[in-house]
Amino acid sequence: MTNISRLQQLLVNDNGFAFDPNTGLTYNISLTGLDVIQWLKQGNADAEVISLICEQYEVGRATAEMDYNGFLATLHSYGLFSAGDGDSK
Amino acid sequence: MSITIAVTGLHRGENPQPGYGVIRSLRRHSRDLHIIGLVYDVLESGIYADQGADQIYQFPYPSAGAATVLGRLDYIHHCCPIDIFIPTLDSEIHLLVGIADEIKQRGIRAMLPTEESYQARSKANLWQLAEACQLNTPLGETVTDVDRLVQAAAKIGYPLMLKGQYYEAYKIYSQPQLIDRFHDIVYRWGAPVVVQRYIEGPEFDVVAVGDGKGGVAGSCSIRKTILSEKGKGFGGITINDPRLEELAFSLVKELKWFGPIELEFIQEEITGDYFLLEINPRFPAWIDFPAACGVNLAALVVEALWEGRMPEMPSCRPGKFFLRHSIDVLCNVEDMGTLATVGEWTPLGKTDE
Repeated sequence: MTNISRLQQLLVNDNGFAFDPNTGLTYNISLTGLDVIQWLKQGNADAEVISLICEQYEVGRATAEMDYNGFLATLHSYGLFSAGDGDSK
Repeated sequence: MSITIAVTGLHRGENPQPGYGVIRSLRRHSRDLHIIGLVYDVLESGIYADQGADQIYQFPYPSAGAATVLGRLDYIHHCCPIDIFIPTLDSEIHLLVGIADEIKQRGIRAMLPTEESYQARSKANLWQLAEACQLNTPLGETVTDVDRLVQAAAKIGYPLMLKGQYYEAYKIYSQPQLIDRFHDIVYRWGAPVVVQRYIEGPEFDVVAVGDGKGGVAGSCSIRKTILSEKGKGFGGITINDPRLEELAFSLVKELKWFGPIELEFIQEEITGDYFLLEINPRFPAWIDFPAACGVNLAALVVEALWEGRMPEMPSCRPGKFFLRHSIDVLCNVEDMGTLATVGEWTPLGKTDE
């Protein structure tokens, strides 16, 4: 299960400026990242998020999957994802 | 009815003291207050700053002893009866804890911890306290001489932190630097000195007011975002981390702390674990920041002492931040002269113009 509880707490504005109330850290998130966080917060599973990336940004599935996994790894490194997270559904 | 409140620690320089922030917080709470600033030095910048104290009195250093301090307090109390006393400096709290009964007998109310609580949170006893609360604190030792210092450093390893019993903390990389700094700290603040393992990571601060029974009447947690060279928080952002709050509250509970308290933590970068760095028996210099956010802990102390109740404070909303901003305060040498020679001064109609 993907644990998005920390992501749910993340306060993000429309321009991609994010504040983690838990740690006090702030981040600048790309517009793509902003979409991904939004889709995850809405409860979409990994496969669904990847499909949405393909649709929204007109990229192939392999590229979308690689970028998505890279982004998840970044979130993980900032403690916004717990270790061992897998598919959300 | 106006309440007269005496506050110490008005300097806002490189090593800012909490008193001026306490006064600003009190002014936010009520205009019907008469505030007396008790100062150790005529160059404490808050003496001359706008919205400061209504009256200033020179006060003897704690090293002058209890009799001298009480004698001066009696004189000030005679000139201008004090209802509430809010001390804000580490170096004076211990003496005041020792004369808490005498202060009370004079009809002056103060929130001071017991001697036992005060000692239990001292840097020398921090390890026992952390153990009792089952929390981490960096490996360390309290030393009074160079031989023990060098032995402790060898055990802990470099880099390490060297701290004075009241003030100052330095990151130390080598033995020559260690010995130099040790002499420097002992010269200024006396022994003992604390040698502590250096932990890499962000620093966090919790300010709270303990009710003396183990409870917390109000608190605010921040992540320090800017640290001065001396390790002072010159910027911070409010956070809401239940884990940090739980650790801080468990310490207040264990100490049965009565009054203001500041708990400093560091989060080890690799593990994410919090380590207790130190506990200060007073408000921090950034105390007016939570007051500006609606969590007025100085006002809480006054309400508790004056009305005998501790209203529950709201939590600080995460995402508010402060940046320390230095300005130059205009002063007249005549005013400083009056304070220096007479020992008291009333700043009338002070403005920054």
